[in-house]
Amino acid sequence: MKRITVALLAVFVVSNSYSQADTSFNIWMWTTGLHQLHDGLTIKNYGFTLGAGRPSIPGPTLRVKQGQKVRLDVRNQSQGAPHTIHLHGLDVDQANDGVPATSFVIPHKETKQYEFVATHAGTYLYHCHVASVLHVQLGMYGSFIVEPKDREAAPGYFYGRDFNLLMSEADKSWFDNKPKHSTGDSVHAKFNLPIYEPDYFFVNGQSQQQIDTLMARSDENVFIRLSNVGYFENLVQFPAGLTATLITSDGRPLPTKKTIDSLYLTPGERYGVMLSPLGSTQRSIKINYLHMFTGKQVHAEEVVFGIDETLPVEATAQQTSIRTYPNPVLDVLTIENSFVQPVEFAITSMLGRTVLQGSIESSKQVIDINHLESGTYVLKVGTISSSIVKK
Amino acid sequence: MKLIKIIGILVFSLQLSQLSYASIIHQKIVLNKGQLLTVDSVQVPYYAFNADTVFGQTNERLKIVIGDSLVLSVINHTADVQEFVLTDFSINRTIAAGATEQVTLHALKAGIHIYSAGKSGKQIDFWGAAGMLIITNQSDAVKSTFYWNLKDFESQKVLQLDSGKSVDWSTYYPDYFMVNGLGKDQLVGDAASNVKGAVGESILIMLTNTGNVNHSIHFHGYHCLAQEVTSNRVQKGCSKDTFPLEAGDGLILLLVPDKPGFYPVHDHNLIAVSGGGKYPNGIFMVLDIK
Repeated sequence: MKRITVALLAVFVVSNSYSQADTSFNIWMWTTGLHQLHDGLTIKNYGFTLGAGRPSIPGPTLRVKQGQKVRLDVRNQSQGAPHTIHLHGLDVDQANDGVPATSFVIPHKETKQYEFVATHAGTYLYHCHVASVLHVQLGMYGSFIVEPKDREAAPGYFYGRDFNLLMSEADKSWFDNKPKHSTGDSVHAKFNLPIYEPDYFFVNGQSQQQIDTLMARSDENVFIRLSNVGYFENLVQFPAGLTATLITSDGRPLPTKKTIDSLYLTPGERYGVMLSPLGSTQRSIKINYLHMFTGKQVHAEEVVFGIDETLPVEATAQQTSIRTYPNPVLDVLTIENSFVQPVEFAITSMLGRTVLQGSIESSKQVIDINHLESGTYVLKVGTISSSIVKK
Repeated sequence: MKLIKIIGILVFSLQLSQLSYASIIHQKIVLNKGQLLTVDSVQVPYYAFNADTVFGQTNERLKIVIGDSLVLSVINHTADVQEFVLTDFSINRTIAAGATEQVTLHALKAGIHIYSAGKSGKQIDFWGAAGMLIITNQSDAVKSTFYWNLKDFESQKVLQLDSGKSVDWSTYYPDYFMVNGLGKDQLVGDAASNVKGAVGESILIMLTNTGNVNHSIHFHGYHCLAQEVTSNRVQKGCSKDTFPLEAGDGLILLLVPDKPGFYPVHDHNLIAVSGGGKYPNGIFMVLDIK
């Protein structure tokens, strides 16, 4: 009897800890992507989506607030290949580390959870750690951003707007002729590695004319988040005439804040650079891609700033988070959110059928879902997805 | 005034305590040529500095504390004239085949340095003969310490060099990436490279890049403090989970684990986790924290 009580208590603690996550993401993993390149060609990529969808490169940028307890509900929809999520730099415990040999894998058509607390503000990565060299190259990566309180990127360094630049490359031959291991081999199997000579060089999965212009006000400090998840080195050159101050790396403030005109990033590194207000001059950041073995510059891309004085002062680059409770829910679901304007929501079944939709008008809104059948659903609020369980 | 005197006495006492440990260390290293056994059981010509005339593919580690004087005898056990280079101490000696050179250096401050055989510039380093010289303070000398000497080579170019041919370095594409002369499976159970420790313990990890390409070493589970740096890329005192190492760089990292578990550490240029064209055969270690 005592054992049963302890077991029940353990189940309660686990389920209760899941329901207490401050923010959650419903992530699906796929091997059926079709990523559009700047020259009109496409590559068949692996990747992540929020809820059902077709993955592109990179996966969605996940943003949370510093101190939040985070849950990732991760479903593998990959046609056979096992996958994981490694939370690169977030210093999670072994169980949530996403390494097949020491954590767990997520087999096809299964859903598992990762849980952790986002203790340090900063820029991080997430990526699959199964046959990493292959699955990362094929697109299974994205940025994970832990936003600081009050837009203070490091003590005394405040920003009005932040932009995330995630660099990577693609060797098209790896996508066209995937090395063996792509369809469900043992996660521990060794496999032959092709020569890596990339022919596409990405900033947030885009290159050349695809690259988004970074829109900002002329009078605000701009915080640039830089990450490299490729297998080349990056040399980032900042616009002349602006003060670029290197303030953070790998989610921690640097001991010496240095004014720089350029910065190297090796694979897996992240840096935070504060730019002084842009003013009215046209400016851009140049990103050079250097071969790791010869040091040669192989390619360069340019990220252009645009000025828009109609942008709200101190807006964030992307929206923030939602919190839903209780979860599992019997009849009434409460959605707390930090959206500043009304936003649409939709609840869909696991088969993709929309069962309820509407508009959220306040930061704390109650929704009656008593009429829904028991099961797991995807709640989408604006751009953010989360899974809910109806009792 | 009294306070200044007390501070003066304390500083003097500290200096005295350091000097009281100072000693003259005599050490010998032997430059050998042999056959490196790769992770996939291929043999390639290789050089290394060893403790004696028996070839081993892991270079000797020279470790002294601040205040020590190191009297190092370097024996050239190869058939050719070689050099011994310790750039950070302005040491560059030519050593005839079979001859011995003695160098002396004084350890004035903590840091990590690379010694190598530099006769043919890049080429002899490329063949393996490069190791680490570590200077620590007395308190660090007793901490749990682990060593990662990173190297890379392209086997075809090694064979070309060994047969006296010239090599086109502009096409360099290494096929082996090693730690202490060993690839991933060879590293299993290697006490020098696989970190064992406990929660709350101060653990030191000594890194050098004695290869020819840049590396990017990523820690799972933890950030480490860059305690000493021989690098333009890493700030002393910074806390990171991914450390760049240019060829020739060195780092002394302090790891104080806050939780138990097994966590990998690997090159995040994931091509460098390969060996002999297979993945994963390269730079991949494990932290085992109780």
